[in-house]
Amino acid sequence: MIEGIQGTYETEHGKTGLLERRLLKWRATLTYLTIGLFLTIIAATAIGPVYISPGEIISIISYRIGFRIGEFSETHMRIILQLRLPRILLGVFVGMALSVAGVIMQGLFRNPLAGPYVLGVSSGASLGAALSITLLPSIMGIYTTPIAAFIGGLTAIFLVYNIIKLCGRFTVEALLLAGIAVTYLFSAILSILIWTLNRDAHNILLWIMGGLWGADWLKVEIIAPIIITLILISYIFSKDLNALLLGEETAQSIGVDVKFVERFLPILASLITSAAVSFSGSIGFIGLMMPHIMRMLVGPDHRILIPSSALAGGIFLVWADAAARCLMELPVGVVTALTGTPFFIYLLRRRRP
Amino acid sequence: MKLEVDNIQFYYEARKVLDEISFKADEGEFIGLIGPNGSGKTTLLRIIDGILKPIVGSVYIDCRRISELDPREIAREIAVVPQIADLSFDLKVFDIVMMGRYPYLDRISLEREVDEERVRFWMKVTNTLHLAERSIKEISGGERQRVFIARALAQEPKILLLDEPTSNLDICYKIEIMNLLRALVDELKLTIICAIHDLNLAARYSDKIILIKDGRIKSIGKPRDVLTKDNLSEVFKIDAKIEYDMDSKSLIIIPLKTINQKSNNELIFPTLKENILA
Amino acid sequence: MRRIILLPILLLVLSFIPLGSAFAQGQGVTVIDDFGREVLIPHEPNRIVSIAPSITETLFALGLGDKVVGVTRYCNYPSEVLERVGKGEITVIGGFIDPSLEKIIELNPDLVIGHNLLNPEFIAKIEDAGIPIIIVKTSETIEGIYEDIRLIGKACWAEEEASKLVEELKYKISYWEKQVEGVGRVDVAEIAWVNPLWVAGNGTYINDIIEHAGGRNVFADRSGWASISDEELVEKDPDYLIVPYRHGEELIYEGIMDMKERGLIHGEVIPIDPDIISRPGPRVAILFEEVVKALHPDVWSRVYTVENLIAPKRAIVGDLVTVYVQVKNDGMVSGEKLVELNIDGKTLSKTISLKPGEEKLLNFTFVIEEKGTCKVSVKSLSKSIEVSPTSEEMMNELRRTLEEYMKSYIDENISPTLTELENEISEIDRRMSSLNNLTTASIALSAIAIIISLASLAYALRVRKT
Repeated sequence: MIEGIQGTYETEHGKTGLLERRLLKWRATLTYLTIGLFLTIIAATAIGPVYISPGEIISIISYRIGFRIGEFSETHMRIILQLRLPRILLGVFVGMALSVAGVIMQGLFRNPLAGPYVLGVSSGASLGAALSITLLPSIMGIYTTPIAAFIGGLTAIFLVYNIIKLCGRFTVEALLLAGIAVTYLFSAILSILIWTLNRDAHNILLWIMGGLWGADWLKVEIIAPIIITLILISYIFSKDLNALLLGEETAQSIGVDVKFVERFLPILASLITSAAVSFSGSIGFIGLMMPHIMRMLVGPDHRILIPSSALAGGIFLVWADAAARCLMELPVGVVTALTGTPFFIYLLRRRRP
Repeated sequence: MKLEVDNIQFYYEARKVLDEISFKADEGEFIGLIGPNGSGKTTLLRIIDGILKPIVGSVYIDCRRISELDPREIAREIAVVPQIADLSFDLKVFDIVMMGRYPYLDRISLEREVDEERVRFWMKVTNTLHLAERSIKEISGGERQRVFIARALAQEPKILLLDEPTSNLDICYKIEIMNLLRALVDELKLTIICAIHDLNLAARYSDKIILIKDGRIKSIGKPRDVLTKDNLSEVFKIDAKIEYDMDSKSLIIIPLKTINQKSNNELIFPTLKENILA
Repeated sequence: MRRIILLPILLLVLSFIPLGSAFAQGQGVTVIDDFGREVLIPHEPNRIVSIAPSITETLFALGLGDKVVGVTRYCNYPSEVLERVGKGEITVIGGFIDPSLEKIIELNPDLVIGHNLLNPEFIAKIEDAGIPIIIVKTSETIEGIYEDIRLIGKACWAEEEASKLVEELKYKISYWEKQVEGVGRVDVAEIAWVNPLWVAGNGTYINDIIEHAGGRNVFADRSGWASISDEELVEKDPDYLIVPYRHGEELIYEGIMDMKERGLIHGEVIPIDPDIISRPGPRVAILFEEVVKALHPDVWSRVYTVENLIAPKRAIVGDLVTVYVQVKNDGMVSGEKLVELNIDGKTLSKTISLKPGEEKLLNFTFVIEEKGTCKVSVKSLSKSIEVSPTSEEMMNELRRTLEEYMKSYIDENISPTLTELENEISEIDRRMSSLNNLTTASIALSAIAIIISLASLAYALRVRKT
C-alpha cells in the first residue's frame, strides 16, 4: 500500500458494485446454459432414425430407475439405453472438450484463427486411426482405433515440442509454426497411406470426418472423468489466460508465470483434444467457432468463457448429432459446419450494423 | 523504498546489450531514461521488472534481490506500462484495470470488494472511472494510456516503469500523461522510471536522467548535467541549442542540424538535390 | 464407248468391297463390352493384362493363366498368381483405380481388361497406343457374372471354355438353390463397415447371393451400399449377419461381436473372407455355397456323396457290429457334414469335418438286437446283414425242433403202433388171464401129481430096503 493513501478515499458501499453485477450475470448465464444442456439431452433422446414415442422413452427410463410405468419393447429399450443415451452423453463431453480446447488455443495465441487442431493433434490422431484401420491387427478389440488415435495425437504434440527445442526459443509463434509443420508432415504420411491402400480410403475418410457412431457406456465412463478433470484444470488457468490477452509482457508484469503457462497450456489443450478426437474423429467447427460465438455473447473473460463454451459446445454437438443420426448417419462435422456458419455470420452482422 | 540496480550485464544471443549498468533510485523520484533506438532502454526496464534475467549483476528492491522473488511478489512492488498494447480482444476498461489486482489474488478466487474499491480509486485518480463499462477499443489513445496506467497502479506498486508512454499520443495527451505521472511522484511518492524519446519532456519532468548509449550509461544526473551539447552531439548526433524556459521552468532543446550537415540552413537533402539537378 | 466399259469395271471393283469386308471380318473377334464399346481383338491374345482381381480370377479359371502378364497388386488368387509375380513372370501394374499406364504399355499386351471405375482418359490412352481394351463392369448379380465370364472368354478367343465355366457355375449354384427351395427363408444382413454402419442393400452382388441362397436381406429396401444407424440394425435384429473377416482385418467382426455381447443384436455372426465377398467372379459358386451353409446349415450338412457302404454279411444277435461309410464332400466349402445311417428305421448320426473334395471313412458301431435281416442304408446305398440267433438260442431252437419232430413222429408213427400194441397186449392179457386160470390149475395138478409121484417113489424105495 502506498503511504498516504490509506483512509483518504471514499468507498462506495450501497451502490451495486460492478463486480457484483458481473457475478450475477455470470451465474444467470451458467444457469441458463446448464438448464439448456439438460433439456437438450432429454429432447435428443427422442430423436433418431427409429421412432420411439416419448411415452415409451419415459417407460424405459423409469423402468431403469425401478418403477414400472407403461409398456415398451425390448428392442426399443436396448436402443435407448445402450445406443442413444451413451451417444448423447459422448456428444456432450466431446463438444465440451473441443470448445474448451479452442478457447485455450485462442487465448494462448491471441489469434482468432487458432483452434484445437492447430498443433497437429488431429492429424496425429487421424494418422493413428488410419494405421489402426488399415495395417494394425485388432489388439484391443474395438478399442484399438481410439487408443491408436490417442497415441497419434500425443505423438504430434510431443513432436511439436521437440521441434521447438531443436530450433531455438520457445515462443508462441514457434509453437504455431511447429504445429503447422507437424500437421503437414502427418497429413502427407496419411495421404501416402490412403493412396497406397486406397481400398480402405473410404473408411479412413469416414473416421477423419468424425462421428459419434459406436458410442457405448464404457467409452462415456472413460472419457467423462478425463474431460471434466481437464476442463476444471483449464478453469484454474482462467486468470492467466485473461492476463495473456494484454500481451506477454503485461501478463508477466502482473505476476503471471508466462513461461510455465505457455508451455503447460498447449499440452493441456492437446490432451483434451486428443481425448475427444480419439473417440469421435476430428469433428470440425466446434473448436474454432464456439469460442468466438461465446465470446461475442458473454465476453472475453475466461472465467465465464470457459464454462459457458463448454456447456454451449455440448448443447450444440448433441443437436448436430441428433440431426446427423436422422440424415443417414451423415458425419457430424458436416452438420456442425453447415449449421454453425450461418449462425456465426448472423452474430457478426449483429455486432456491426 | 530503495531501488538499486547493480552492475547489470545482459546478452541477447551473442550480442552484449547492456554493460555495467548501475544506479540507485529513491522513492518520490522521476527518472527519465533516454538514449537512441537500440541503446537498451526497453531491455533495462525488462530487467528491472524481472522479466529478463541479467547474466551478471542484480536488481535490489529494499535490499531484496528480485531474482529471489516470485512474479507475484515482484508484481506487488513493480508495475510496468509497456510500449505496445495488444488489443486483439474486446475487453472492458474495468476488467483491464481489475487485472492489476491479480497479484493479490490466488488462482481460483474471484475479486473481492476491496479489490473493486481499490480499482475504483485508481480509476478516479487517473480520471478513467467514467470509462469503466466501455470497450478498450472504443476509447481514444490518451484515455487508453490512462487506463493502462490505472491498471499498473491497481497493483499498488512502489515503482512504476513506463516504456515510451507518450510516443503515439497527440500532444495534448502527451502533456496530460506526463502531468499525471509527475503528480503520482509528487503526491504519492511513487518512483517512476520512464523511457522516453522526447528530450524536452524528459528534461521537463525528470528529477534525474539516465542517458544510455550502446548499452552503457553515458551520463546520469540532473537534466542540465546530462543534456549537454557534447552529449547531444555524441550520443544523438545532433547539434542543438539548449535554452532555459522560464514559463515551463525547464530546459528546451532545439535541434539545429545533424552533426554531418554542413550548415543549419542546409534544409535540402543533399543527395536528393544532386540527383534531381544532375 | 468408254462409259460403257467403265460401268462393268466399276461394278467389278464394287463387288470386291463386300468380299473385302467379309475377308476382314473373318479375321479377329469383335466384342461389345459393358460400356457398349465395340472392340476388335484381331488375333488370339497371348499377353493379357488384368486391372481387377475378379478379372484375374476369371482368366485363371478359364485356363488362360499362362497368358496373363500384368495384374494389380490386389490380385492374389489363385496362389499361382503370387508365385508367378514372385518369379517375375507377371508384372504388378499398380492399383485398382490407378494402374500405371507406362507399365501396361511396356508389357506390350495384346489385350487389356479393365473395369468401369477407370479414368476415361486412361482408357483413351490405351486405345491410342493401339492396344485393345475391354471394360467389364463390376457385376451386381449372379447372372451378371455369367455374362462377364462370357465376355472375357469371347475377348480372349476362349468362348468354349467360358461356356463350360459358366455351365459349371450355373450347375453348382442351381443345385444349391434347389436344395434350399422348400426351406423357410431367414433374415440376413451384410455388414460392410462399422462406425458408421454400412450395409449391402439391393443392387449389390452379395444381396443377389443372399436372396437366392434362401435368405432375405433385411436392408433390401436400401439401394446400393447404405449408411445406417446402429439403431436400425438393433431394430431389425436379423438372424444372420454376414461379416467380412480375415486375420488382420478384424475391425468389422469385432464391432459386430461387441454389439452382440452387449445384447443389442442376437443373430449369428458369419465371418467370410472379404476377397470372396467383394469380387464377383468365378468364386461365386464358393460364396454361394458358403452362404447356404451359413443360412441353412441343416440343409448343407446333409449334402454329401456316399462313395461306399461296408457292412458285414452276417452277424449274430447281440453282436457289436461296425458299419463303414465312405463319405465325400463334393462341394467347394469345408465344414461339418452330418451323416445319418439308417438301421432298420432307426437313425444313427455322426458329424465329420470334410474339406472340399475330401473323402473320409466313418464307422458306426451298434448292437444288433433282433435276428433276421437288418437293413442299413445311407442315402441311396444300402446293405443287408443276416442276423443269426445265438448258440443258446440255437440249442433251444434245436431242442424245440427235435421235440416237435419227435412229437410228430410219435404222433404219426409210434402212436398208432402203440395203440395197436396196447390192444394186442390187452388181448393177450385177456387171453393170458383166461389162460392163467387154466394154467394155474394144471400147474397145480401137475405139481400135486409130481409130489405124489415123488412121494410114492420115495415110499417104494424105502419099502424095498426093508
